[in-house]
Amino acid sequence: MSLTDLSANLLYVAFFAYLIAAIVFGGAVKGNKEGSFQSEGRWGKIAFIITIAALSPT
Amino acid sequence: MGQNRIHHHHRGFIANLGYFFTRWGATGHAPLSNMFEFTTAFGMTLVAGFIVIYALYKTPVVGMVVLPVALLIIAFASMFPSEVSPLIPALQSNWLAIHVSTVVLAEGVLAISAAAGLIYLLKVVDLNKKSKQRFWLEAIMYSLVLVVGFVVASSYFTLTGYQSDFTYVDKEGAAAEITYHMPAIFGMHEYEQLSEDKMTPLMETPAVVNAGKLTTVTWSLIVGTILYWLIRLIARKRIAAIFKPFVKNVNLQLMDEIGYRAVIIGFPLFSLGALIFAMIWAQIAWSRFWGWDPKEVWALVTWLFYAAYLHLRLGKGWHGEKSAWLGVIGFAIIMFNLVAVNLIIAGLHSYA
Repeated sequence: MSLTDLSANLLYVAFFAYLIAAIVFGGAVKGNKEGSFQSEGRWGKIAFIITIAALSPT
Repeated sequence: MGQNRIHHHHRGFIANLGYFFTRWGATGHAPLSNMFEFTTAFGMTLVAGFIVIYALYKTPVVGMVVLPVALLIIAFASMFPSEVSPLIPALQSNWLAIHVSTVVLAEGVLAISAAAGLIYLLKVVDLNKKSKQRFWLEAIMYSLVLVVGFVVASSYFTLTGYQSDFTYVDKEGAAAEITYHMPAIFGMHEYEQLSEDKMTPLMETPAVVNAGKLTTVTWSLIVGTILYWLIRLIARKRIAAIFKPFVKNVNLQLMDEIGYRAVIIGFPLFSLGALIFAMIWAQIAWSRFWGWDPKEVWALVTWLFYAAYLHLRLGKGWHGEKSAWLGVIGFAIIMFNLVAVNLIIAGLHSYA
């Protein structure tokens, strides 16, 4: 696999990882019933880790 | 456990830098030379800006807005040719990396200001009452759906293999050829259609307009509008109203601060990349610092806009909702500069 093909495939991976992270962030926001705007919670942390993992391929 | 997480983050960033420089090595130039590379990098710097904001403020709601926007930007980028091709002579310079990387970083940071502004507006604008604010907030949501429209239209016509060839006369008066990948709504200047059984353009455009790209934008508008009304019909409410429940716990003061901080970081970066570095390179490449090229004009408009943002905020006390609107308008200007100026108006920056 050439570097160009690899980068294209990694972009797909990043795209779907961002998609998952966006959904998880949405869940984290919806699930935050305490009214604390800065409470990231478990799902917030998970979404953040997915975002960083996704950033690496792009 | 916390330390492990930090180490994961560091590894992700190191891998990202590793990827970027590997591609740089493979192509022989900074991967910022065409619409695909620049727009992908824009999505990446937007997420990078968000990561910094999240590390500081731990606000998932910003991620809920930034990531879908980054997804749209990457999807938009993927509709442009992604093949690695040799650089045109004007771009063969180290200033490509210096000028464009600073601009893309600045625009990514400035876009964070728009995201914070949008969250602010989603919370404060009363959607049950008819107002200008309600109209314009929904217009923002509509414009985001238009990007989806572009992706859907481009994907559909690419999958069906649509092609239509034309000859035309360019703005220098030379004969040229163009292939449309969507049914031609607008024809190039003095066009002649070569492909049979394909849609004939409804209207001819002046030489300064790229009618092929204008056709793409028009199709995006048509498909995006249909999608928008489909969503409205299914949800039975405005798109802004769909997001209301997600922003009910948002701290408005914090969103205002994030928006402002993004501008005070992004503005000097933009000044450096889009004006100073750009002028130095323009002097080297074209023997003039400034030539009123459409991209130069719109870079100046963007810079003046954010200068006005800072002036109004610091001098006139435009905080809160006014500041949020300015953040969103700034992003609209950036997107106009990226999409309309690069694609529709023929100029020295029309590389894609």
